[in-house]
Amino acid sequence: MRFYNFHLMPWPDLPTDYDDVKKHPSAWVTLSNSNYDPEKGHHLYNEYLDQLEYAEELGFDGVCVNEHHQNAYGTMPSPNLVAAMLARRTKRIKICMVGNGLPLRDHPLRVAEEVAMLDVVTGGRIISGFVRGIGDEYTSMGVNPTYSLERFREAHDLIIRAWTEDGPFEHYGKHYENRYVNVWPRPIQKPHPPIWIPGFGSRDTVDWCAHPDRKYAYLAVFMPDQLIKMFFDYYRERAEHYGYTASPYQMGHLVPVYVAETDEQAENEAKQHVLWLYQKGLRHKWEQFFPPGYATRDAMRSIVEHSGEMDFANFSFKQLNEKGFCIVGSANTVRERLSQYSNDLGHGLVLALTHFGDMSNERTRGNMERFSSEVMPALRKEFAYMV
Amino acid sequence: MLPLVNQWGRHLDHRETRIDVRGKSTQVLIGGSGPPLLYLHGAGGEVAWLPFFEALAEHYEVFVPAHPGFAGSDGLDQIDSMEDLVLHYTDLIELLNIKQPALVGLSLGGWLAAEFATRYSDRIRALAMIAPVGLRPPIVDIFSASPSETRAIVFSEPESDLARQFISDDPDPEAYDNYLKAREGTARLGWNPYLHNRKLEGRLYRIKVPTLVVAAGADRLVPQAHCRLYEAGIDNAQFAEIEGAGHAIPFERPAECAAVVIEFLTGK
Repeated sequence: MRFYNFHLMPWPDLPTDYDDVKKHPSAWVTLSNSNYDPEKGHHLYNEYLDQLEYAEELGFDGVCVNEHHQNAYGTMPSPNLVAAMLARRTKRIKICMVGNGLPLRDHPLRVAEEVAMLDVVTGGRIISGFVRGIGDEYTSMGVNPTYSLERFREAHDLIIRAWTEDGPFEHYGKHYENRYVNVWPRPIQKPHPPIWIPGFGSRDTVDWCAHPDRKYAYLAVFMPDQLIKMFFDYYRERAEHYGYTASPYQMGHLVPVYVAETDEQAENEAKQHVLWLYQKGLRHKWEQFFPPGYATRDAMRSIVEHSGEMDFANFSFKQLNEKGFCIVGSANTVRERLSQYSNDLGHGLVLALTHFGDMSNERTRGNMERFSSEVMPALRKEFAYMV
Repeated sequence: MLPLVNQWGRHLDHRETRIDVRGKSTQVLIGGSGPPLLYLHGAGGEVAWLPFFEALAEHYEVFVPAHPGFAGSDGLDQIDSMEDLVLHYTDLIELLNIKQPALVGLSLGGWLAAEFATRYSDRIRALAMIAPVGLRPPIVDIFSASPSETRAIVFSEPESDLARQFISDDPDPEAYDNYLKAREGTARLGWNPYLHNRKLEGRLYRIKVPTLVVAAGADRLVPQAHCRLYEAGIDNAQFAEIEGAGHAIPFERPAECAAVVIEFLTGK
């Protein structure tokens, strides 16, 4: 089992009347950036970066950063920038970008270049996630969501070719055209950095990841446990169908985790931050979360059908904790729950979101310390068979 | 976004056909008799035999096709721009063997009609645009609007039974599917730039056929000034206003809207 410290770098200071959902329907797209204070941002970014660097000291296997645009939920417009800041301040851990929002970029070769450069500078400590981006970001960035999936696939294919084939070669696709594809530098990891794909519930994505040409790790993001099980089972089923057995490291679970002395103390301390994440930071306008054509009509029907299971805006803290939207408790409780999850779900990648919502620096570092010293070692031992 | 409305169509006289337009299976409703009139629908994908069409059908043979990707038509994968859609309609007109139709378009369809007429003015008899978008971005964001917000944008009485018939809060599966298709088809053409073509205004001089612009008096999506831009850019264009109507004029005021269009076309 491997442990990654995930960060979203949220902007915690929402308007005082943010509870008025009519007035503030979303933490995305329309929430004014007048709510952002760069002076405080200066301290916050450095605090967050210090936390990520601290993860190396505490013995995590890696840190995860990501890409979000024009919102309070996560203030990293480019994961590559954050990875670059961490590249020379860390020595051992993996730096995972999960990931670059390929369709949102003007040209995928920028991603190929930047990730390759990071991989070379770090001597191969890069894990390269690719995402389509949250639906809202198509509105924020003016990118046509009806091309989201085909842009993602074409950009992905071009990046992989650019990393693995000798250039120059030509690429004339529907969305990207280049007479000369010849990316310098080339990545140091062969054939290329590992690729992780966060998923929100499309079976097609699971199948695409499981394909033997790729074998990409599929990451279940903020899902209730019964849905995760459905997707991980489907991953293993597709792998068998393709003639191989999936490794636990082809599946990852991203979840907010909080550890305190007792369950009660953990709940008291984490509750407001969990609710910030699910009820404030993840507040979307439905039509922006699912812009036109972003999900197929089949997927939309399934999303509407399952919307009750994902209705986290209306779940209490207790429900969120019980359903697996967060893991909050004493070290013993968290250890047991993670152990049970991994036994039930069969995944080997644990992506612990140790800071979430408006959590203070002190509380975050304490959480990271308790998680790494009281939870990780026992689980590493228990799941030592995962190699 | 307007889902397909079929509950009104049952007693009205029309037929439906399906035609292969260069690999795009295309749904077309046809009714009435007289000179041909081709209706280009709006962002809602209103391909159902509505009272507005029935009124026009008393004087014209009315053709109501679904754009690729909308309602009963497929082929959105072949459409990336208004240019593609204009060419699709030149093909459809040939395949249906319609000679010199009058082109009538609502909103998105009005924009499409203008794009068509700037290129193929000689293939149509007249042009009537109803609350057309296309020259400037509309003043509110329809892609971010919920069904109830959409009703408030396009209908003067958003909570009326009529408005709810077109845009339901709880659509049946077929209506929901048509809603998703209409949203995607519209976004394909008008996501960014938002439902307009900045070059179109400078091309309006190319429209050489009798033209009518119908504006809604209480339009919350397309201001009257926008309709006036069309009028100003096209030689001898006529302008009509339906007082008090919301953006969806032909749904709200079918008889009045049809009368204005028929009067214009009869004089031509």
